[in-house]
Amino acid sequence: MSTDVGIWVGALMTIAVFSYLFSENEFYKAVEHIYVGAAAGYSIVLGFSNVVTKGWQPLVEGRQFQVLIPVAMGLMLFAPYAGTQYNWMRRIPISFIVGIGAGITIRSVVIEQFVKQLSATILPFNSVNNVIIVLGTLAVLSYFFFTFKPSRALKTSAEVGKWIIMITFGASFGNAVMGRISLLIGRIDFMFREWIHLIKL
Amino acid sequence: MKREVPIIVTTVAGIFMILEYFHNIPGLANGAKELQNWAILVAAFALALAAINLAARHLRNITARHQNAVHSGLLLASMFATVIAGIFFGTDARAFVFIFDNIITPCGSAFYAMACFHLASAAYRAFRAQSGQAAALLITGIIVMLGRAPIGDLIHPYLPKMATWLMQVPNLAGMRAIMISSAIGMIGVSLRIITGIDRTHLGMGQE
Repeated sequence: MSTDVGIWVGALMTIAVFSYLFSENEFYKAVEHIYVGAAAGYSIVLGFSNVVTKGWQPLVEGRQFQVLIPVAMGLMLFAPYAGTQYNWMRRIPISFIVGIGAGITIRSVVIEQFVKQLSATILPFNSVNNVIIVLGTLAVLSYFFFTFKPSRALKTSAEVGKWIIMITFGASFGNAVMGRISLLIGRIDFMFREWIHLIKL
Repeated sequence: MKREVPIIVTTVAGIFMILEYFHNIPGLANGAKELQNWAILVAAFALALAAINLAARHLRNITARHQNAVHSGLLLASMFATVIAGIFFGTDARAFVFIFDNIITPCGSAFYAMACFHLASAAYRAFRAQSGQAAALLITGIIVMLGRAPIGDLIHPYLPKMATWLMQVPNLAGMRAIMISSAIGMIGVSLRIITGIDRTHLGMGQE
């Protein structure tokens, strides 16, 4: 068996998590709360590091006083603590983040998810696979037309699209299950190899 | 003013990010980078607010001697231990690395791994080949699962090839169409937010 404290902690935590499969118990609940606390703490540390590198250092070392604007916006999030009459102030930082997010979404989605996917779909009809990809994509797209009453041809195309969507969901489901199983194998491998040294290969 | 200023901030921030990307206007690139840094900074303050709320919630549990008081204590202890280790000793410190390697990583993997049992249980209850399309979903799922496991090759050597074909051809067509459709949806939602039509994020509803 391993003599490493870290491996013991990791193994006991793993057993506690899997004990939920038997029934919810105190051991599981304790580990669940420890995990949430540690993960929250980790996020706080990352956030603090961002404040230091993008706020404190530019302000103190670089004399970039424009950094005070996002700091002021950040502090506005705490305004409701000063009284309900200041509730409206938190809308400003929220609207700033949402505006930046919406702008970045349009930037990335238009090129990566729309133009590139469309151009990758325009394939020559020189193989059965290419025909399935092109017609399959068009059929699924036709299924998503909800703005007008579909014609008979569109209905037929949408029906084919439904079949393709079902195959896609089945494949995604299979992939998701296999991804989780590989994680499970990883945990079992850790327990038997690194903790109790039963697997020696 | 309380209503208009947030909408103006959203519109200006959004349009600035779009203009910078699609037009080569001098000075805009640096401005956009600066705005992104500002957003990260504001998000860090939002994270601090969330941490305060989480701590306050669990402190209330402890002071009120709630039935989950012990669990709340464990959560706060692990949160403060991680914060102290990371902020005062640095992210390279042994204590912080220990927490990440031996608590966050194994627990995260175990929680995700456990989902495969829930997926199997849900699939057993939900998957019924009651129609041709439901059967297509079921059969594709089984082929992909078996084809991606070593046992698939033992059952039939054609099974892994079939799984690969399903992933690379019909699945590709479906995923591509879903990506294009969701892209159109995302562009629409973003434009509604930037133009101030959608104000739900500000708690103002739509107009």
